[in-house]
Amino acid sequence: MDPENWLQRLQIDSADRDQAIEELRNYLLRGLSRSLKHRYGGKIQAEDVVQIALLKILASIDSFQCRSRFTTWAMSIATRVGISELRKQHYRDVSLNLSLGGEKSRWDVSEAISTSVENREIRQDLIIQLQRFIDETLTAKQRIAIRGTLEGLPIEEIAVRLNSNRNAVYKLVHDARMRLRQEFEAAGITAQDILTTIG
Amino acid sequence: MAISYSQVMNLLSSIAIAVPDQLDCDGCFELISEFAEAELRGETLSENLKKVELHLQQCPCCAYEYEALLEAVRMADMQ
Repeated sequence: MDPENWLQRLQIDSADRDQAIEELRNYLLRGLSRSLKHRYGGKIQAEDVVQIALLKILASIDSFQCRSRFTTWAMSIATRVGISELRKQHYRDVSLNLSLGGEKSRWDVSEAISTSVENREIRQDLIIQLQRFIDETLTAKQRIAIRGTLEGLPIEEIAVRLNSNRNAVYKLVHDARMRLRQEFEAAGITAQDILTTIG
Repeated sequence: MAISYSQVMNLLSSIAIAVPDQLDCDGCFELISEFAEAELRGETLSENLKKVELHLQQCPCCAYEYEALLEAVRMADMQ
């Protein structure tokens, strides 16, 4: 079915609206019941996700620009709803140390570098420089956000803990990475050097 | 939560591949269904969709959702 056809059938005054919603519900369910079940423990009912997603899809239908199939666009909304909910559940009890802004980076992973690794000392130096650049050049918020990503928190969840939004935290993290990259380059360490060192 | 060695290596890797990104997560989301179909059809990416590719390389959050979207669309279309 082409996108225009879906839009027509989903119009408020369409006689075919209920049938179209049912078809869309079944389509989303077929995809999500498989794609969500192995993510973040999959502790979520695809039916519940589809119910919430359908409301969002119908509410934002005017923003659909027919640049893809309607069903793919709808699935992108449903997938985001599902993954966001799974993340919320998965990271519910994980806190982020918001006081890190004024503290030094204290993580020490030197012991974890296998003694058999050929470039062990170079790796250690790289990590020490990374910590120094984080402490000396990043803002307090950037340090907290980088710490969150280091601990494996998705940007979306860092945003919740910072009372911010996903876009703002992505920018925070991205700017921090760019800044750290510049610092490495200023110290004579290129991106290629980093990739070669860490293998 | 303790920081593991592999997490530090991931951070170093993300620093090494960091390049200016013209999209934020919402901008990526607006184009993601078009990008997914281009990939599923094996099409060459337009300049606009290359921005999505770049964002996905630098944003694990969006990349993970994209992976789930591709799987969902493949499954739903298959049946």
